Amino acid sequence: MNDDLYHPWLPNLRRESEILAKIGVNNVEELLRVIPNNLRIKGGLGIRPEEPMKPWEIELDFQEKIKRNIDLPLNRIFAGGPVCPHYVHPVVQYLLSRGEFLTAYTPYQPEINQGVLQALYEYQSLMAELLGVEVVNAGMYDGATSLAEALLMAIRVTGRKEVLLPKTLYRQYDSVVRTYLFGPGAIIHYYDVDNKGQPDINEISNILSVREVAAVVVENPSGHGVVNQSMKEIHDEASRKGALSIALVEPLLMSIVNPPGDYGYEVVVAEGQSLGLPMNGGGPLLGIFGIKYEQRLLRQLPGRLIGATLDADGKRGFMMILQTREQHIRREKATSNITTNTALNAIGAAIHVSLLGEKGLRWVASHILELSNYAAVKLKENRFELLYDSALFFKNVSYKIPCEIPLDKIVAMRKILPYSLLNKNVCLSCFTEIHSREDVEYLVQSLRVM
Amino acid sequence: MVFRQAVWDEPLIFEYPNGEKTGFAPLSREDLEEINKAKEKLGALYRERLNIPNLSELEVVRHFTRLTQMSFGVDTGPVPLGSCTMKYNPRLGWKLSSHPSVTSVHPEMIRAGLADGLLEIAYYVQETLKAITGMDECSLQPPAGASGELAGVLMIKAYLRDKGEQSRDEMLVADSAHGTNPASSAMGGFKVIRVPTNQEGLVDIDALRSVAGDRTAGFMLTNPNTLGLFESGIEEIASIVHSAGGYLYYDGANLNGILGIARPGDMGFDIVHLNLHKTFSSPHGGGGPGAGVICARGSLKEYLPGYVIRRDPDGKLSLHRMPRSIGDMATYYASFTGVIYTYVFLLGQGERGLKEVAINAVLNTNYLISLLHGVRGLSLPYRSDVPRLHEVVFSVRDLVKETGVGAGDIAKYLLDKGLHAPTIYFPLIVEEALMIEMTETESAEVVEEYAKAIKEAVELAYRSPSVLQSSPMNTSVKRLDAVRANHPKTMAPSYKVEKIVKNIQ
Ligand SMILES: Cc1ncc(COP(=O)(O)O)c(C=O)c1O
Repeated sequence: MNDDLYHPWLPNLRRESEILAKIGVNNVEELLRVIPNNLRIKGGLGIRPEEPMKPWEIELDFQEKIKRNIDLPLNRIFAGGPVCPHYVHPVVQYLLSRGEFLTAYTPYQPEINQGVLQALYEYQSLMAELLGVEVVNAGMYDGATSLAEALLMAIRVTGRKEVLLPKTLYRQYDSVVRTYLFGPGAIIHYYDVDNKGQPDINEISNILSVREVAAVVVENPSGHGVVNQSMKEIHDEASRKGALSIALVEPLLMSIVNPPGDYGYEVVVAEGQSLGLPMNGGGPLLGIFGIKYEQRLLRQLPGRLIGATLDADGKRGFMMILQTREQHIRREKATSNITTNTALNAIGAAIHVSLLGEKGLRWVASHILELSNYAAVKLKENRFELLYDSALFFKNVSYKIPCEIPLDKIVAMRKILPYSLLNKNVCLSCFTEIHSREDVEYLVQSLRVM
Repeated sequence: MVFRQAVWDEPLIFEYPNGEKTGFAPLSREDLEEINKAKEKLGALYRERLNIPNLSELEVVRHFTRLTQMSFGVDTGPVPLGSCTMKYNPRLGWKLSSHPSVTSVHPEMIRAGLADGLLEIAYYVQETLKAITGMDECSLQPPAGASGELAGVLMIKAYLRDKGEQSRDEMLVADSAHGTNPASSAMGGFKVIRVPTNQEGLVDIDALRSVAGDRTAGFMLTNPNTLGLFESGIEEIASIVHSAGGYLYYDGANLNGILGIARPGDMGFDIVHLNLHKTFSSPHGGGGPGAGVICARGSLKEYLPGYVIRRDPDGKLSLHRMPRSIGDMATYYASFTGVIYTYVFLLGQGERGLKEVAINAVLNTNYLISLLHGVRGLSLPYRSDVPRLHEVVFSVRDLVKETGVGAGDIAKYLLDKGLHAPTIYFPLIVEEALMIEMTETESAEVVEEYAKAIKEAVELAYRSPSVLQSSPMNTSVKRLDAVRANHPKTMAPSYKVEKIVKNIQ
């Protein structure tokens, strides 16, 4: 028995014998007897530490380890892709740290979790507004799995088993989509972009004519950072050929360009990290998933959905709805296996967007647009070749460099993380609200000296 | 205990007086000029209408603070939801996972060797979880348990393909299993075959034998099972599945009951997922984000998704792709928040504490059972003489018959006491189920209080059932109208739709 240990996370440690007596057994072994002896761990697992550590010892161990991370100021990080540096407002960090949100479970008991539910309903409503659709679920794991689930959904809705993706798709997204589509054994086709970085509509049209495509994925901006000028044309063409259109967007851009919902896109997906969430080394993130308000889509929607209703006194309240789509009720016929999602990050995004408001959102997006294209000009001026010469970039800018230098060397020399590599000698740099023109100049200068 | 939850008639942010305000950062004349420039650049693409409310910073803080006051988590009171392992989430985990040297790491830095501290922590977690599960390799990539399940199912599918055994298209799933097991199997393209539970509450071995065969790809199982019972025939189960040519998948959601006492690897499991947000104290965040891990042994480990972390002979850590990897389950490498909570939990418990975690969880379960023994209307289906491990499932089937009061009503009554309800109506094989998992972090007094509240509820059901049927009264809202919420004519999944519905009425 444990008469030589107290532990803050084990309140009953010193009362084991008392509780055993109340249960009416002599020892713990009587309770564990159901586990066959030969399956018991003998002589310990050999894991470290053997004894519980004190909290300050844990902090010291952590500091010892974490100091091996290279700390860069946020505005010296330009590495592009699905995750980029954004400002995490202290209000977001603080509110998400409150235990009532942080340590709650999924609100299966809505009466006692109205706060979580209302915050998620507000998230859904804000995103629906931003993306121009009517319905957004309460969150998927990340942008990549949102996209993969959207494709699975399109396969179920249309009964077709082929999909059409852009070649410019982030390679991480492509990999997740391939993994998910291995399940149903779907066939993936790709379309290219022209020399302006715009989707090749002829190629899309040709593929749609000869193949039975369930869905076309349309990016705005593309994985190479180019703002899409033909959202409407592609949707209309897909529609004519009986395919769904799935828009994969950067949510911030949607506050200054017409959103996909306005063009009739059936599904809109996005990564939500740019809405005030930390990079965290790449996870956890936030998958945004929206649809038009159509029964055939609603019935096939993956993930949780919160709806408004009334309580016994006729007062407005919120609860999870359409749960009959979900795994705990529908099991193998569910629209997805997802249950634990990213609710807290969704609430974080809702807080962030509430702080920004319409004005702030428009400014952040405008700043990013201005700065990205300023960077494109500066890169060109300094004889770096843009991947698409006259394109309008948003957030990510793609360009070529004469030679690659390992990132750790660049960091050591210039205290800057200048890009992520798309291909050999092809780079992606991103520009957000935390960057200024001076920062862009510092980046270009750093690229030049190397 | 007297419990009154805050009642704020808090409007939606859309319903706040919409003014010329912002809550994020000051906007200067130059900033506003940027908006005009963007408008010019975008021309016809420019969006004119955007209905996002404008609030001040204080208004946003107040709004969401009030919403937290109408929420309930482990920090507020016990949340003994069965199957969810709602243990205390140590604040130290929050503190360290919010450290700027963690939150400001760009994923590209991990690959480039610029975030070796974070990688070192992840490596420690990976290696320790290998030891705890008895597996050869683990990938920290799955963002949740269900994602780990899908990964496992696809790993089996890929391995069978490589062996030329595509005809194995059936996944066996226990009828007591969590819904994610059959859902993941179906997503992986498998036909789901249900394996029944016998009268002892364990896998029906004869039934298993009769369905296992040359179409069997695998069997998804959790042990202890969702009734809290240990599958003592697990070795026989493993041998049946393996000799049929299938693989055994371990749903790690229930690991808390055997942590440090027994390992899935020793029981014959080939693939294991873990939920760091259950067993390893990472918080649930009102639904997520969680963090999953997927581990495997033997040939199957070659198929793991994402990356495993390896230490080179010179001590340097790096990410490795397994040779036959199924690909990726998420954009990047891991959910580092959950990984850091796990690191804190493992150091804070040590090998010695880990075993005590399981023992104390088991103690609490059986203490609760003993306190509720013999309560009229409440029964313990399946072998009431066998101890449960991490959780227990009661049935109020008799109570419903005698009083009309069901598991859902008991749940609402508990809310009024400031106690979160158990998981109800799951597992599906128990009628009117109350599934309770106290975990090791609740004190004996809380267990007693919870048992007392259930007893009271049951007694009240016989005296005045209407009281239970009209509860809760002390929460921010009263019982909600689920029919209205789900009816196509009144359904409001967003503020946009809510306005349309209101106009029609
Ligand atoms: C028994 C069981 N299996 C699987 C899962 C799925 O795990 P997650 O919610 O992390 O996806 C859960 C929890 O939801 C569970 O209780």
